[in-house]
Amino acid sequence: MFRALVSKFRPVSRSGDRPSRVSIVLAFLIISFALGVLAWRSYELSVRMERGANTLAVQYAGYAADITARRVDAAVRTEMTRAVDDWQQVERWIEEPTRASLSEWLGKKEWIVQAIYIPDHDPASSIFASELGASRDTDLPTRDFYTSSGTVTYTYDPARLLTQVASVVQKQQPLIRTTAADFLPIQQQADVIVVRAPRVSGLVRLADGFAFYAPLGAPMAEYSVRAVVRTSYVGSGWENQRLISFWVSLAAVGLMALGAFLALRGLNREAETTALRGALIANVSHELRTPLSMIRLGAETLKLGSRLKESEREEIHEQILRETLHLSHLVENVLDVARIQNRSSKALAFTPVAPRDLVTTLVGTYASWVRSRGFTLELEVEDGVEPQMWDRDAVSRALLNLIDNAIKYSSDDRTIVVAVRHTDQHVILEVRDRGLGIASADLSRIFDPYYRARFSDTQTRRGAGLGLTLVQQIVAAHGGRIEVESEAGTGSTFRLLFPRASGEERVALSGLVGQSKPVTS
Amino acid sequence: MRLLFLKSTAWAAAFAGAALALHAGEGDCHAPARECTQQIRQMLSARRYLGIQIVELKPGLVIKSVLPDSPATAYLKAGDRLIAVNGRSLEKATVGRFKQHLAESNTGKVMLIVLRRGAFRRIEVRLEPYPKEYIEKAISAHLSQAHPATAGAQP
Repeated sequence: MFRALVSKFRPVSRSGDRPSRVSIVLAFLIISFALGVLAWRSYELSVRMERGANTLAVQYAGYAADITARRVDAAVRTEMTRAVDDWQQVERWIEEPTRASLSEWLGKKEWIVQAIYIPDHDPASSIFASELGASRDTDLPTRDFYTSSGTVTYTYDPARLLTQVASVVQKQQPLIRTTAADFLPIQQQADVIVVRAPRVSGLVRLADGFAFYAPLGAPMAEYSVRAVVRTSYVGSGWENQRLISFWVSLAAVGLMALGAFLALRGLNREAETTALRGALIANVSHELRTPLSMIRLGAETLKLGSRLKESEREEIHEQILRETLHLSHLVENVLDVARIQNRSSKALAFTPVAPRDLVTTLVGTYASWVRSRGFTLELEVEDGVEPQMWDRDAVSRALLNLIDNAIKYSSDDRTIVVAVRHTDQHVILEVRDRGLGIASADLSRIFDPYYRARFSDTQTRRGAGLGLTLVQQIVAAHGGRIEVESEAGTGSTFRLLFPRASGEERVALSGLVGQSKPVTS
Repeated sequence: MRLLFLKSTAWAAAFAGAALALHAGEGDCHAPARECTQQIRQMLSARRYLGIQIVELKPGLVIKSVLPDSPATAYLKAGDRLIAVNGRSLEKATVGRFKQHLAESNTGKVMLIVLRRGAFRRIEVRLEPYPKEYIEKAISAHLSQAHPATAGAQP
């Protein structure tokens, strides 16, 4: 089972020069595996970078919150100390502080809402000042301070005090300062604010970042500094890797799909070729049987019929000769194709050949055979073509195959034109018929081995599906190419374009081949 | 020269104080009178006092006077030098520091060591709340100064 599977995927090259499509899947497998590895590495990298970015954000949030909390603490302490100092200045200049001086002192401190001064020498003469409005928070904290002559107790509003020191709480400086020239555009900034009585403390994971709560010191212990660092902005670096990983894995999957598709198609083709090859046996044996039976029939008639007329005898001879010719042509074809299949391209023997000569000889040889099928062969030969370095047999066979095809796929108009033309670059052999023509769907596949166009009556027309394959091989071996012009119903034109060798090249070539006989046009 | 400067500053301060006092006479307290009464009572009754007035010599603290009818009346006398309070030396302390120590004694009992006529004395005093009449007096003084309109209506 497994071996069968493996053998199916092993590169096989029985279908001509083209590499089997099945072997393509191996390349696709390797490429998509490599892409998969790449995607995985990229993903890993992105994960690591994300973790790094998060660590940085966490540390930065903690740093920002702590630093700010300590700065606020210091500012609060400074503010409170300043209040004490200011009052001591008042006491220094005024022997007996009055309510007015207390009010004045109070008025300068936005955050102190009320205060009472209790002199040591007479607590009964305490003075009181208040800035409270009608609506007041009942739970404002109280602080005392002691001077040399008395005690001051005051009530303050922490929110107002924090507003006073608000200039400390700003956007924290970026952890990494960046200039335009920097490679990584990290813009780490923390949004720092003071919050009252948070239900959490320490590090908190947000949907799009991290928050760190750092509680304030003693007098403001109710408050915390919260620093929020967002990690979800574009440009922290790992998003690119994640994106690359996504697209690369998508590409890998796509390639795998493509490879699988190609492999399946290759398998299909393979199966089709196998089926066609099976049909070949039947075709070839059929092809061989017909001329053989004709020959046998003729020979038997000759042997038995002693009273035949001379003309009849002549006709039978003619027929035997014709069929033998056809038979040998067939066998040649099969042999050549077999050579092609085995990839041992038959070594062609290049000799100088005059195209006109070649065509006329060929037409002369097969004229009677063509005529016997009821066809007219017309010859159009342009003069002025110098002899070319061709393999005479191969080119003849190519031409013959084309003529044979024209006969096989004919319609009512039974005229076949064989033409020799030339341009500056090419010598062109052309076979034109007014037969069935080739449907455009078949046009691209007619050169495939064993392929036969899907006529409704393909089965009634004999053939192995090898003729055009052979023609193409031969032309390619001469460095030329084949052109087909066809339209279903109006006939086909096959053009063999051979590269035209000028006089000097021809001499050089003949030298290479070892041609000793000088050829002059 | 320095004296002149001090004097002029003192005068300026006195002048400013007088102006503020004039303003205050119309009743400048922003809070309602009832609120003020409540606040003063709360702030004063929450405190306990010893009843001495201290001068700060360098170094050391000396009692300048003792309030009549105060917790200290029976134990301390003017001229006593304060040496220690609750086991803490007052050798280099300020008045503020001494009061801080008093406030921090949460039992209300204070143990003092004083130097009187060359002899150390160990004295235990209990801090007491301000007498009610002190508080009432402070309240009525505030009301008459800051809330002249409502002063009569208050008890």
